[in-house]
Amino acid sequence: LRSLTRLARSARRLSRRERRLACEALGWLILSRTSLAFVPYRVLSSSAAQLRPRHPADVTAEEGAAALRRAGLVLPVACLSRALAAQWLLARYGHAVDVQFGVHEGQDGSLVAHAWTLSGGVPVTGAAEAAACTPLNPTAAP
Amino acid sequence: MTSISRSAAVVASRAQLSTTLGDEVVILGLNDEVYYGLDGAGARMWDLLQTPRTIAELVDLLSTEFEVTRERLESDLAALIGALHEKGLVAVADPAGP
Repeated sequence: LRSLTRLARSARRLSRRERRLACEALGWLILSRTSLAFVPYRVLSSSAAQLRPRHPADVTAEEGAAALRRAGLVLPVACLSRALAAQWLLARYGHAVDVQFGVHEGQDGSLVAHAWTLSGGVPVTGAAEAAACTPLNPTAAP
Repeated sequence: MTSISRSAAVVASRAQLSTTLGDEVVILGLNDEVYYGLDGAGARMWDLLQTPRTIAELVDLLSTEFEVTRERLESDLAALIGALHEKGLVAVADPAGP
């Protein structure tokens, strides 16, 4: 309850625009988490390209990243859900998002997989954990 | 399981992402979103499959690197490549029907 109160206080400090964007990001997080339970990521990911940009220059990638970070405090979700939400949210503002996948060895020797996103070189989601990862690369198949 | 002819060209498909982690190759299948691991001769085979190769070529190359009979190698490679093909991790130019 205390942390929720703190969250509500910090939300009040945000501008109306930041609050609106954080709410929009939360909506995409809810949708991505729910969708990924039923539909393969590959299918959902390709749908981002079909979203029509709403206000192409209205929101920067940095603002989108901040909104997703704030929404993630309310609804912590897995990295793949965050990556998908980033694709959808930023596609609405005309930004392409590059999704990277990587793996690293966990402390118990198990394989830990991670997804993170960049938009025009700006880290959007999952950047902190990405430092420990070895990126997975596509094969340059003919 | 899919049967692949010795002369068919096999290559890592576009429906996967992979990397090397220690001695292991980690492959993320984009069709099923499952991570697969290969080590030893399997990892070396994956390395070779970054460019198209026939099973016969793979046997020639790997038999010089691993202590195994050509017959055993060919049979194991055919089984592994067939399994990878079923998962969409490799593309086969001319797969022979069963």
